[in-house]
Amino acid sequence: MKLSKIVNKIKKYLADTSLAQKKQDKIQEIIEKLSLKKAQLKQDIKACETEMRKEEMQKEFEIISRLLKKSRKLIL
Amino acid sequence: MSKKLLLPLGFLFFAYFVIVSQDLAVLLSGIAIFIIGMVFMQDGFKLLSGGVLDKLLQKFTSNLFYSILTGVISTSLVQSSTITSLIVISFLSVELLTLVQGVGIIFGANLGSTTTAWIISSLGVDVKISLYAMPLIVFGVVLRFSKSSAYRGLGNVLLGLGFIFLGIAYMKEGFDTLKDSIDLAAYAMEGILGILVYIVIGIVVTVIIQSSAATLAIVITALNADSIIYINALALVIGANLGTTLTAILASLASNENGKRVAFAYFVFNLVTAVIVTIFITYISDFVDILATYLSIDANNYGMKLALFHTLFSVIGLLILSPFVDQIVALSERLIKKKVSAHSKPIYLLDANLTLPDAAIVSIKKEIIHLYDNCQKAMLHAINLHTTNLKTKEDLAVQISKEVTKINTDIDEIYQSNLKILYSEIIKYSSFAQENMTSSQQQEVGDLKRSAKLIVEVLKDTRDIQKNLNFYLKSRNNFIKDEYNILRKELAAILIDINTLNATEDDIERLTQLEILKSTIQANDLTNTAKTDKLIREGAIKATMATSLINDSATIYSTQKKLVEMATILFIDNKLMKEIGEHINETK
Repeated sequence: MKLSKIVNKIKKYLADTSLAQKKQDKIQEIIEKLSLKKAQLKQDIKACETEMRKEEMQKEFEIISRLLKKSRKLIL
Repeated sequence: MSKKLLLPLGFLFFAYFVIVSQDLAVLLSGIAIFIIGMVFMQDGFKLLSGGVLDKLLQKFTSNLFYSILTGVISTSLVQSSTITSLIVISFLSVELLTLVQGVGIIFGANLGSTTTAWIISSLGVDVKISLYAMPLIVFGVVLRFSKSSAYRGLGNVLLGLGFIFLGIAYMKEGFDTLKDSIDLAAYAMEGILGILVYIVIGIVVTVIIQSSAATLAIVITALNADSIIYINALALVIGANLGTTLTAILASLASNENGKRVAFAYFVFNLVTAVIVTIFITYISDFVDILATYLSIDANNYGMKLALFHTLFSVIGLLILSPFVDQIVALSERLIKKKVSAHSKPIYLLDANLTLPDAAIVSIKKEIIHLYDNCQKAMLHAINLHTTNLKTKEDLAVQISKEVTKINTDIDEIYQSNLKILYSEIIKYSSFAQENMTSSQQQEVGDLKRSAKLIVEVLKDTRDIQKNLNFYLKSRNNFIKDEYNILRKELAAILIDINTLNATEDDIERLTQLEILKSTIQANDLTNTAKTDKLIREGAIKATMATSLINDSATIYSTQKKLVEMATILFIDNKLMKEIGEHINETK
């Protein structure tokens, strides 16, 4: 195998690894944002006085939990 | 206001003449019966041809000569240049014909329509045709009871011919008796002034009765009754030809630009011919006499000579103007420009961005959102909701609680005249932009194109439920009325939610809202299905109502899913976010 081809393969591997790393970082960032939102929502639900609004927030809370779960699955 | 007054005033005007003069009443009845006969005959030919005419017009127009020939034959067959021109206009609007072909057919139709004068002059005046009228009417009525459309068509043709014969007989009688009380011949005018005055009379009469054939029938019978002189009759024929183009122009005002262009070409044809024929009228009149001798037409048979003059008029026009069809078409295109509404004009598709992939993607996305805004407005109108002051769900609740007032919304028309152009521009621009893009950018533009397609689809879905919606919202059964109101509310609610989503800055917030939407529409669908089942079981709605409701609920659910998919493509920028966002069917 020619040296240039080997170098190219290494470059491609490094680039892929870097891309994967970037993706992981982004997912991590999303997880952090979602966790923050979840925590905030939990507090809001506790503080909420109207039943209807509470139900709405509860629904949102469940959805964020599901999104968090799915995001964590994307972490290698 | 003036339009509202025009009809009763016209009616009173006629009533006065009919009451005052019995002879005039006979003459006017003759004209009325003749026109009814024409209507029956044209309907009959339409039924008889059963689409043959459409095929003829579509297929045999490969060059200008064939187009003209097709126009001559088809108009001779149906005895109406109006029918031919209406088919031409409808074909032009769907681009089954080019404008040159359309104009060729219309030129031919002008010649084809002269056969009516030949029929009237050869049959209608010399023979006592009223004798044939009654049997024709009887046979026509009998055939009209047939189930076969061909026989019904034949029945209409016979009925039409019967009425035409009867109409001519009455007109003839009217002119004969009128001659005794009023000497119309005394109003004969010779010289150039007479020609011009009678041309104007011909125009006015044709515009009023909306048929040059009827004008010709009046002229021929009047001529045979010696109520008018030959030279004035020739001028009336010229006027009738001009008048019929004015009728076509009036009819074309409601059509698209191609309809107007065809009417313009028709007007140019008859105007130029009329000017030439008027200038050389004495020579042409002499030529008619010479030609009549060759055709063994009696020198005193002015009716047939008039028919010959009418034919000659069209032939002269064809010979002079056919070589200039391309120029006439170009002139019509220059004068009558395609109207592009403000809604159809792209705002963001800048040519300068085509070679800059990222800028092009932004342009495409913004333009699709523009398309969505227009579609959204049409959708809300289609479900009878006013878009002004409809920003929140509270506004929606207020509108839904009020009694429904129907908003006339023709979605097909809106799509064809406004949105199709914008949609086509987006697709065209995207395809060109994709040329300079990487595969991932191409993929992104591919998704954007899909979102535009989804927007058009949801608009058409709304059209599909519009008829039932309007019907059941007026129902006396409150259960079905309420269900359709719920469907209305659900569709409008998702549109409002998507607008709110668009205004949200935070990506995470957008994603969350979209997920909430997915779960809401799925829950709504389950509730609606369960509710419909309950209503059927309780006998609150009839089976026919239930099937409509089930179908329309399914359409609304599918529309909402498409809207969510569209919103995901358009409003979630981050690819990873899209990946995290669960597929709608996975939502629990």
